[in-house]
Amino acid sequence: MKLKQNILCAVVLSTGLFHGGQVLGADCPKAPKEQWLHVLDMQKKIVNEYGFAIKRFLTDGNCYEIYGWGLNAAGDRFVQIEVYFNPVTGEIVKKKVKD
Amino acid sequence: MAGIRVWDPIVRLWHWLVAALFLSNYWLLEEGDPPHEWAGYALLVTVLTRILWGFIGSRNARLTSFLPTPSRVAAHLRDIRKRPPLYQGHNPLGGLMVIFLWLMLMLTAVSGWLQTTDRYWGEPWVEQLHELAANTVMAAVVLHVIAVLIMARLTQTALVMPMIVGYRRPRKNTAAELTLKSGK
Repeated sequence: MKLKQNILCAVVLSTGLFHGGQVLGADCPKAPKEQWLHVLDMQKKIVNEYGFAIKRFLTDGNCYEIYGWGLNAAGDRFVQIEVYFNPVTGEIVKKKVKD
Repeated sequence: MAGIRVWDPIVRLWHWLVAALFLSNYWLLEEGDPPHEWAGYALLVTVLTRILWGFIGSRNARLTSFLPTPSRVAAHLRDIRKRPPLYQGHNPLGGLMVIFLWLMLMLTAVSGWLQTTDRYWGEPWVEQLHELAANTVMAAVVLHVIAVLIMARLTQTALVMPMIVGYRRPRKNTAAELTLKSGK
């Protein structure tokens, strides 16, 4: 029946409309876990060097990631930030500031 | 041009507003950026005012005309197997879809807003809820479009044009037009 074929076709085509879960994210170089900074060292660096407050700390793919607060561009207010770190060097890979 | 009035201007404008706001947020606007947030708030306001319109709007816009009570849905499902029933506005399953979409859109908007508060910022369950709700809306949109196309064909009724221009031509089968269910 043509209608059934059309419906099937529509359903198959429409799967392309969806985007899977994690659209955001960042690319960190893949490195063996032994080379990763210890979680506590990473957190010390985040708080003491970058001056961020951590709300949530997690591992996202090859990155460390935090949700927290940091100074805005004007430097007069703490705002929500989402930051990805290279887990080996602790460098910031991607930073989203809700200014 | 003579035609049968189906959807009033508010229903039509709101329908396309919701579609434009949802799809641009789903596909285009970067999550967490201000445009995404504002589109979400605008979407919430649009849905809420549409619900209000469901009490004071034209007949087909009103909740009383399409509230999917279990008996209406059951009757509709019985009818649909024999011959596709005709309705002036939403059929009961369509009404079910409308209300489901409203609830899911509101859930999406509220769970999105929650993430802007310091308390729920970065909370995994709020994030997942927001994603799940948005994907559910997207799935419902696909189902909605497919259902409209199928019902348009089964009932030989123009269903897309009325949502754009507001009216439709009488059906070719005028006897069917006379037995039309008012939805009451």
